[in-house]
Amino acid sequence: MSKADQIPLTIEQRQSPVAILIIVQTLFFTIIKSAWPVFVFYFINPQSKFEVFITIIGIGAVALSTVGSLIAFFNFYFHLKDNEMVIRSGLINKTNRNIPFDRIQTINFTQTLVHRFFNVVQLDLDTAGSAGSELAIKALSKTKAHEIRNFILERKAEINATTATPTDLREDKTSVTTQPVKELLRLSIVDLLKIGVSQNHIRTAGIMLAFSFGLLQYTEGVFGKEQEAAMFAMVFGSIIIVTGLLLLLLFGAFLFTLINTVLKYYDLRVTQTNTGFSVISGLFTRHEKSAPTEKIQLVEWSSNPIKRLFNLYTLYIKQAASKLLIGNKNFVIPGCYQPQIDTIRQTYFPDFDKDDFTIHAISPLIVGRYTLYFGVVPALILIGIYIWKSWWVLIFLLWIPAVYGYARIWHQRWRYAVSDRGIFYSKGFLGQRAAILRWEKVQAITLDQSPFQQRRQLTNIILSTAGGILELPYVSLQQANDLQDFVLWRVETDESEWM
Amino acid sequence: MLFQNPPVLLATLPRLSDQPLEPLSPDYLKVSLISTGIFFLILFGILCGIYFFAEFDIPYLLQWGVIGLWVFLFTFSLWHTWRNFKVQGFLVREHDITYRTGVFFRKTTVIPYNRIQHCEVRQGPIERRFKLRKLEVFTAGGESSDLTIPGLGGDRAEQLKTFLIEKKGRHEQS
Repeated sequence: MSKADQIPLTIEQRQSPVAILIIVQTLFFTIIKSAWPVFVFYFINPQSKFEVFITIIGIGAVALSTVGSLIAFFNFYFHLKDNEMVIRSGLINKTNRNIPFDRIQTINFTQTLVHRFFNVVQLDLDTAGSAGSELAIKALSKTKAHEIRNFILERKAEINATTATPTDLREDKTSVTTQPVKELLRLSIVDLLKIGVSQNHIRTAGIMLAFSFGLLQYTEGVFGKEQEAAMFAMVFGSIIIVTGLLLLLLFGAFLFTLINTVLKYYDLRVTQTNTGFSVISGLFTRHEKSAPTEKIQLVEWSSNPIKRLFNLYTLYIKQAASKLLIGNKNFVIPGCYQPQIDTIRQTYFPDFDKDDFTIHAISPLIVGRYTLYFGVVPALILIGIYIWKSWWVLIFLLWIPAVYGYARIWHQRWRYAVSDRGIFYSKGFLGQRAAILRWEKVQAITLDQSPFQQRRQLTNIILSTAGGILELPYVSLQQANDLQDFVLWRVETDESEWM
Repeated sequence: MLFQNPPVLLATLPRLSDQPLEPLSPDYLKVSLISTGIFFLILFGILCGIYFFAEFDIPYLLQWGVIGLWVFLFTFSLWHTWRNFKVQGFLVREHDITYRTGVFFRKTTVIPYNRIQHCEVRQGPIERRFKLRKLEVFTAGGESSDLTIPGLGGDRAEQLKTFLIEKKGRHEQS
């Protein structure tokens, strides 16, 4: 333990001096980035002495960022009070920021390469202000960072305990210092490769599709419609070229996601602690995130055909977050197996019992709508545009039964189940998704109806939580009203906290 | 049957859909119509500006087309505002607050009092003329679950706000 580590947290203190280096780094790149007009100037006047400019900018950036970071470091103090963190900063405009512990939503650690070299961490605090501000202490020794986190969590629990009714006091709340209990998951290189292979390539495929359409347009423009016969042969040739190009592109994109996945999730470890879960990952920059059990609002998991080959799932633990961060994938495990999902579900929903749940389907009318919007309309538009050029375009009529078939299966797979404690759903054919939600996590309930749904007595149900939404499409209005009345009654009479 | 467990209970629950909603202040219809009018007048001004200052000739057909479209959209918006006013309404119950809006895409949001984070009362310049205010209710659920009730006359908005905060406080004490 170094000397700085021995200073009690309640005494005003500076960050670890490594912070200077971190701030220099960020400032330097900010300055270089903001110097772009100079580079533009050079490109307009190539005769001007570029070397001089570069030297001036370089020296200027180094000097400015060094001075800036020294000022920032020596004017940044923090200490912990009984129930708030106080941060004093600024040279000219002195600011005092008091962050009450009950406003702090999450405490995460980040380590860039520089951090890791000096064995320090960055402490990120997400606070639930109405403005949704975030706050970071750039560098702290590991011991200190953990000390701060434990201090805050302990105090938070104590504050909760004094305000809550005695019956609410759960036994595990008395000792809240986060201690690892069990390692749930550790991804090996093989796992990472599997995850990389099965990442969502749909986006990439979309780009590819747009690209190939562009090429088709181009060949059409070159040949015109008189030479359709000649074009046919040419198109056949160009199809081979296009396919080759596409394959090359696909391979490039594939390699990119693979490398990216390995770097980002290298040595990912999920640990179950006595207060919740934590996940650490990354090769160069290591992130440590934690999800206390009571903060978990909604648990979702998804898979796709390739993932199913490996029995892999992507798991989303949706935590309560400040307004800005809602909907962000704030706690994602890119690849895990059924046992981990079971453990997390068990923690989130301890009294889960499949027999309590009644399974429901959504209205079959969604099949027709789905076919209309994604089948009939696009096919007719395409045919309407190209029918003047060639009758071949009628082949797109086949798209309609294809979409209809897909929609039928999709509808059959859409199932939701409700009990008096919560709801879960599973849906999807190629890409599958499932989620589980406890009623007390619901913040608001919205019924959303399109004109068609109004005519047919149907509605979408949107259950909003502090971690994201859960949406049920095309539910009969009668059932939706029942569900709404029931959920409201549950939320309004239930004493258990949503956080 | 929605649940296996409490079928008896379900029938005894208070039904939200049976309750008639309270309409907004009639003056709010005027406010909405005036703001629609102002928007379309500004749009008309911009179109006139383009017409008088354009460097190139605008085809005759396009001119009339644009004017026709403007008239159509204006009429449609006025009609839509009027219809929407008939849909808009809110309901304050013992434990939750409801707001409904939307002619074509109808949205009904309910927030239980024990999930309210904070409330705000606001007033726009046109609303000020008619002494109307709007009440905004925020939850921790983000934008999808926030609720804004416009067109509350007199002290209604402030009263509601006080009422909601008192309800919220009572929950927090227990």
